[in-house]
Parts: sequence; structure tokens; C-alpha cells
Amino acid sequence: MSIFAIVALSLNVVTGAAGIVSLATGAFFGLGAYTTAILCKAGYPSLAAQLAGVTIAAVLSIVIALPALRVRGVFLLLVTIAVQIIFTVIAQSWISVTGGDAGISRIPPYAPFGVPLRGVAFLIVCIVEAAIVYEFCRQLMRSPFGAVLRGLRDDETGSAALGKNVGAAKITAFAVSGAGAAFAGSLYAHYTAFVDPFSFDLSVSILMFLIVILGGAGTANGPLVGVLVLTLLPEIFKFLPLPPGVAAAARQLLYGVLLVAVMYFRPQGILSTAPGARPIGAIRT
Amino acid sequence: MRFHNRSVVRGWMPALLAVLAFLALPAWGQAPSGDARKLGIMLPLTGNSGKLGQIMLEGATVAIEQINASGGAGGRPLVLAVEDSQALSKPGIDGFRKLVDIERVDTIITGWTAVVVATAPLADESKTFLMSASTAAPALRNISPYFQSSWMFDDETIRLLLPYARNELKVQRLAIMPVVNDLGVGLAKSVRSEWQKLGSNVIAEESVQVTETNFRSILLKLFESKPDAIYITGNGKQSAQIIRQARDLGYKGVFLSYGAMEDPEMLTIGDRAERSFYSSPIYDPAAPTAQSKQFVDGFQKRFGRAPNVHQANHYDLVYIYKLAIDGLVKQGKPISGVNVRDYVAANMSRYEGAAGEYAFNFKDGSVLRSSVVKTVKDGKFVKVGDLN
Amino acid sequence: MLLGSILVDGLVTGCLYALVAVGFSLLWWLTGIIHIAHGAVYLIAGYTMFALAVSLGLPFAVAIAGATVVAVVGGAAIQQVIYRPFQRRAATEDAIITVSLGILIIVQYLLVIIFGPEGVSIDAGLRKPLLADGPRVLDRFSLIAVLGASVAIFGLHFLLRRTRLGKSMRAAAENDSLAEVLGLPIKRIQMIAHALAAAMVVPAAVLFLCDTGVHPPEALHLVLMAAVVAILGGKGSVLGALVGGVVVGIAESGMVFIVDAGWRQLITFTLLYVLLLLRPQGLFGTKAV
Repeated sequence: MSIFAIVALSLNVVTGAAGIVSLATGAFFGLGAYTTAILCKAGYPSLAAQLAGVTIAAVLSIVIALPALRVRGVFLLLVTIAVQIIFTVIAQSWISVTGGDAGISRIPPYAPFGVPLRGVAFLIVCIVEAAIVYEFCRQLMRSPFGAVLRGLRDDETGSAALGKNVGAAKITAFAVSGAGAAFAGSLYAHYTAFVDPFSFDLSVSILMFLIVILGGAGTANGPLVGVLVLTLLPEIFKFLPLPPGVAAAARQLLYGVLLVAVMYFRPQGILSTAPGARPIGAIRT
Repeated sequence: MRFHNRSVVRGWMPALLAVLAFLALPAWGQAPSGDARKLGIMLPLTGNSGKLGQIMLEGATVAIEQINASGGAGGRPLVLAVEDSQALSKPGIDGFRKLVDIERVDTIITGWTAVVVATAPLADESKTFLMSASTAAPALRNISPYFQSSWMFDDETIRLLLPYARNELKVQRLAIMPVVNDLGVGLAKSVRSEWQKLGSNVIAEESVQVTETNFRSILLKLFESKPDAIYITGNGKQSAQIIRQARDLGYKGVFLSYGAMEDPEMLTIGDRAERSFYSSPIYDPAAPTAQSKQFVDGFQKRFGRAPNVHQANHYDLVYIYKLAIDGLVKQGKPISGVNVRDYVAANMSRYEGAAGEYAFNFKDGSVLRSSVVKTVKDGKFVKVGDLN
Repeated sequence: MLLGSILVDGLVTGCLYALVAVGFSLLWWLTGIIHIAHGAVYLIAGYTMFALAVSLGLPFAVAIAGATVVAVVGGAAIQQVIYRPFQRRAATEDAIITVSLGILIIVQYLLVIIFGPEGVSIDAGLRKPLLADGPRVLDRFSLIAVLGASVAIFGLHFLLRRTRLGKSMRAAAENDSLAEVLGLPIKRIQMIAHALAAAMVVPAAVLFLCDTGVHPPEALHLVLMAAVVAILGGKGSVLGALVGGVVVGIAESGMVFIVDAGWRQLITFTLLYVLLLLRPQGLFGTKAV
């Protein structure tokens, strides 16, 4: 769960603060996971693999975002969806590298500085790393940079007119979000010891998005609340006598219901102090 | 409706995290329930292969009933702990974890290449014995010391089927339409090399996505090379779709595949399914052995129809487990995945079951069985020839 | 001959995409809503058709009519019950997209839970070639698809250009506040647009049903393709949707020639990426995006 928290926190920077809806999170999450899987199995140390994943993700985020600077609103959303799907397709088809649909298994445990971590020890390290990311994002959003991002969300043209470098801000936000997701992805790969294309597809991106808006986009603690709710809520299904195969569909159904419900009743999320009905995105033109 | 403000959240947040950290510890095993022994079984029960998986489960169910009616396994009743793998890796892993961590099984009957590839490493770690009567990919050879198949790896069946195609079906121009996954890649490789050994090269090959439903353009491209036969590697439902679309486009040649073609989905496309040939372990419901009669009668009584090879296979797997348990109890050994596997390897390298004879090779997890060629005729799967 | 067959096959698929896209495009242009839930309407239409024609055994024509009614009601309901409250609150574009996506997910998984994940299909025998020696892809299905799509889309185009309703719609699309001030019944116009969009998707759903089937997990992908086609053809351009659909359909079919299975999807979405960057107004749209 702390792993998802990391992803949510970084997504929050882009979506919550800057108001850009990105559905490519799953792709970057997966990028970190696959990089770790491939490198660690080839014998590289975990931290190096993690760093590699984060760097690649950051670079790729910048590469993808750069041409998309002029693109606004729904078009940008479609761009991120395109990126997400491209990632899933590559993961499925580049069999020699990614193992295709069967994925990569037997990933060694997380071993920072050569010490393999399992069970409780791993959990503690994840929580610590999540706390670090949390603090980092919080500071980021309090900084002048954070203000620029919020300016982006509320009124992009205005910010540009005031001389803020809107483009650079957007790109940095994307890079942070991508890097954060990749960071979490590498932890995830160690945790499950198995990666495949379906763990990092569009539905994961949608889930991350839901987590962010549920908790309150743009707030520091929002993503945490979101992660809490969305990890615990589906556990209810374990107690219901559902026929096989229904449980997974029911969980997705729940996400759909929550998407509608959040937007309908409390679009700013549970924790946000922002005025209602204006959670993300610029004023409708 | 603001019911939290920041300081409250800040206060209970770390406490909550600590509580959740505690909850996340994987110490939630349930005590084994009652007297019964549990045998794990994880097959696709929903999804594209769902119908086939359910059929297989039926075979296992008959075995359970008969075993319990005659004293159980090692003196205790035997029950199945059932999980749905959907033939996918992720649900397979989830199902595996549930069976091993919560239900505490020592052996799982499972199948489908993707699922086994994903769960074999886990089986290594937890020392769970995996048995399968529904995995075909040559890549599974040697995948784990805890994996044993009772279904022939299909590189071997290809070796048997292709000469039949060449000699009996008079196939000269062979094309392949593999699915982009481990199984497809492995089978395509076997087809290519075996056909080459018979003196010609595969004339065309077009790969297909797992989730593809519209094969028309791919088929059109293949037809340009005028193949007499096309080897397809998908599951029954996908094969049925491909054949349906190909026949509608006017393809008159033959289709070749492996045992997964014996899937109820193939019977939904009418007479288009004819002239499709696949290899399968021999199964004759009228075989005179005692085990076979017992199975066929029991199945007929329970389900009101005759069983097929898949059901017989899974019946046999359950019985193999029961016999291993009986043996271990007699030897006074504890029941565990390792012991079950060792017992089977030591005592059952040749096994005579309801589905015929098995010659197991425990070194690499493979098996040899008599194989036949079958086809679809008049809405039924019928045998047309022997392969070995 | 192969090229011809592939072109025809692509044309047919493209017409189906166009039917789905035109409703999407129309709603986007008129109401500014990215109607992801259009996929939900498609699913509802397909499953209703199946239920009526197969489970209840009704004759085809009756079933199609029934499916149309249900789809139109569904589309209008989404507008009335879901979108209207948001519009009244001046909700952001992103909020409405999110809700739309939520609706699609809900419908998709409800269908999966009730009917199973395999989808439904009808074997209506439409795919047998008409001429024994002629091109293989020339079958009843192809004819119905191409003719049907053309008639429907040209009809819609005519509606928009020549009728009073069409003129009202165009006015509303250009400037809805002004139009409202001038007395146009904006709410009713939007409702009619939703009904039209839903009606347009019904033939596509029926055709898909008779061919490869209607599968809930494919709904989102289909909406994405519709979005691609709508963007390619230009927001609001009905004819553009037809042209865009055909282009995309042929491109998809043609790629079999050049590229292996997995990479085809890759190319489609890379092209989408490029398209969004370079020419978001598509082939027929104006620059005001």
C-alpha cells in the first residue's frame, strides 16, 4: 500500500497541483518495475536498477511532454492515454526483453547496499521511502514552484502573461510524476517478484487517478487518504461469497462507481479545502 | 461537509499507518478446517478458456466423489480447494497465494502455460507440487522440480502430427498462424524445425495478438501463399473464430492444432469446423480396464453424458494424488509437497489410469502417452488415426 | 487482388468505426462533452440486440428496433441524469470526462458480472461471399456495413445542413449562450443530439454483434478509436467522421502487410500521438480548438 502511496503522491503533483489529467501513470509505474526486473535479474544491484528506472522514466517523461506543451485539455488526456497504451503494447510484444504476456518472474528481493530485504523489513523500508516522497512532494508544493503549478491549474494564460515559464513548469511536473511512479514501480517489482503487462495497464492509471481525486487533488495528505480508502474498500469483497471471476470485475465496478460518486458529491476530494466543483483543470472555456 | 481538518489528519495518520503495517504482515493463515484433506485445483473457470476448465473440473469432481465413497485419501475425506486462474498470470498468482497461504494445500492441479510460468517460481519457494494435464508449451520442460505434466509437451506431438499431415492428409504447403505468447512462439519453432526435417519449409507465417478477434486481413495475407494447411496455436475459442472467418472467406484447406482444440467452442461453428485436425492423447471410453470403467460409469451417472479425454486426465490426476497420500500415510511420512512429489516419482513412473497409460519423465516434467489424431465431424470430436 | 481485399475489409471496418465516431464527434461539437460513455451506449445496444434476437427469439427487425429504442433512451438518460447536474454546476471539462469514464466502467463491469466476460455474438451467416468466384470479402455483411453507414451519415449530414433542427444545432454549437438568449431550446437540442448519437451507434453494435461480437473490455478501445476518428475528421464534421473512419479502417487492415501483430497497435497509437501534436483539428476541422 505504501507503494501505491508513492505513485499517488507523485501523480498528485501533476494532476492535483498542476491540474493536468494524466492517464499514463501506469506506464511509468510499469517502466520502473520492468527496468528493475530486467536489470536485477541480470545481476545489477537493486539500488542501481531503481535509479536507472527513475532516470529513464524522468527522461522519457520529458521527451513525451516536450512536444505536448501546446496541447491542452482533452487532447493532452488522449496523449497520455496513447502513451499508456503504447507502453502496454511494447511490454506485450517485445518478448525478447519483456517476456511478453508471460512477464518476468523470480525477481530477487530488494537489496539496497547488498542486504536483501523481505517481509517486515521490506515493509518498513517502503514506508520510510514513502515518507521521504511525501515530504518531498509537500515541500515541492509549498515552494514557489508549487505556486506556479497551481497557477497553471487555475489560469494558464494568466500565468504565462505574468511571465512564469509555464512550459518548464509543466515538463518538470510530468518528470516528477513519472519519476515517482517509476520509483514505486521498482519496489513493486521486488514485492511481487513478478511483472507482466496487465499489471501496468490503463486500469492501473485509472485507479491512480481515482486515488488522487478521492483524497483531494492538490492537497498534501489527499493521496494518502485515497490510497487508504481504495486499498481497504475492495477487501470487503473477500468477505462476500462471490462466484469466481466476479470479484475482479466487482472491484473495477466499484472504481467506476467511485469515479462518478466523487465527482458528483465532492469533486474536490475528501481532504481538500479548495472551493467545491473546481477540483482539476482550468475554467471551462 | 468538511469533517477533517489538517491537524487531525496529521495526528492520526502515523498511528493509522502503523496499524496498517501490522495488518499487512502475512500471518493470516487459517487453521485447517475439520478432518478433510485439501487438494488445490486452479483452472480457468471464466473467460475464453472457461468452458474447457469447467469441463476438466468435472472430471476431478467425479474422482473426489468416488474416493470419498471408498474411504478417502489416507483414511480422511478429500476435498478440492478451487480457484479460477482465468488462464492469466496475475489471477494465477493470486489464486496460488490463496491456495498455499490460506488453504494450506501441498499440491495443486493446474494448467495453462501462462499460469504455470507465473506460479512455478512460487511453487519452488513454497515447495508445492504442481500437476498439470493442460500445459503444452515446450518451454515448460524443466521449469521447476515441482512441476509435472501428464499432458505431452506439444513439441513432441508436433513431431508426430506433421508426418501424418504430410502422408495422410497430403499436405505440401504449410503455413503457421501463431499467437504472440510463450506457447505460440514455442510451437511455431517446433513446427518450423519439424517440417524442415520432413523436407520442406513453412511457406508463410503470420502472428496474431492474444486478444485479436478480427483475423480477416491476416488470413487474406496468408491465403496469398495458397497453403494446404495452417497450424494454429490459440485456445479453443480463438481457434473457432479463426476457422469460422477463414471458412467464410472461402478457405478450403486443413487446420492443424494441438489438444486445446478439443474445446466446446469448436462445436459452435457448425460444419465449418470440419477438416481441422489435432493431436490428442488417446482416450477410449470403451476401454476395458477397471479404472476406466469405474470412471466412465461414475461420470455418466453424475453428469448424464459420456466423458472426454480432458475429464479422464483430471480424474487420473486426483487419483494419483490419492494414491500418493495413501502411500505416505502407510510409510508414516508427513504430507507435504516435497513428499508427494518424491513418492510419485519413486513409485509411479508408469501409471495406468482411466485415460490410458502414462510414462512419466520426472527429470524434466514431461510425459509420454499414446497419441491420436482427431477431428471434428457431425458436431463431435472423433479419432481418425493413431500417431504412435 | 490481395490489396483489393484488404482495402475492402478496411473500408468495412472503417464504416463501423465511423458510425461510432460520428455520434461522439457530434456530441463533442455541440455540447463540448467528451462522451466516453458513448461506449456504454454501444454496449447497451449490442447486449439488448442479443437479448431480444437470441434470448427472446424475436425477429431481427423487431430486435433492431427494440435495441434502438433502448439505446436512445439510455443515451438520453445519461444526458439528463448524469451530465445535466454537472452542467448546471458549471463543472470543469475534466470532471465531466471523469464521470463519463466512470459510467462506461460501471456499465462495462455490470455486464461482465451479469453475463460473463466473453461478450456476445450472433452467427447470422452474413459473412458468406456473395459471388462464388468473386472477391472473398464481398459478402452481405460488407454491403450492409458500407451502405448502411453511408446512408446514415449522409442522412445526418443532410439533417444538419438543410433542416431547421440542423440549423438550430449549428447555432447552438457555435455559441450556446447567445443561442439561448435568442430563444433556442438548448436543453432540447442537446437531448436530441444525444438521441441521434445513440441511434447512430446501434447499427454499428448490431454489425459488430454479427461479426466478431460485442465484448465489454473492448468498449473503451472502441471509444478511443472513435475519438481518433473524430479528431482526424474534425470535431463536428459528420462527413469528416466517415472519411476519418475509412482512413483508419484501411490503415489498420493495411498494416498487416507491413508489420507483425503486436506492433500494429503500437503504430496506431503512435500515429495518434503524432496527430494530436501536429494537427488536432483533423482533416476537416477549423483551427479554433
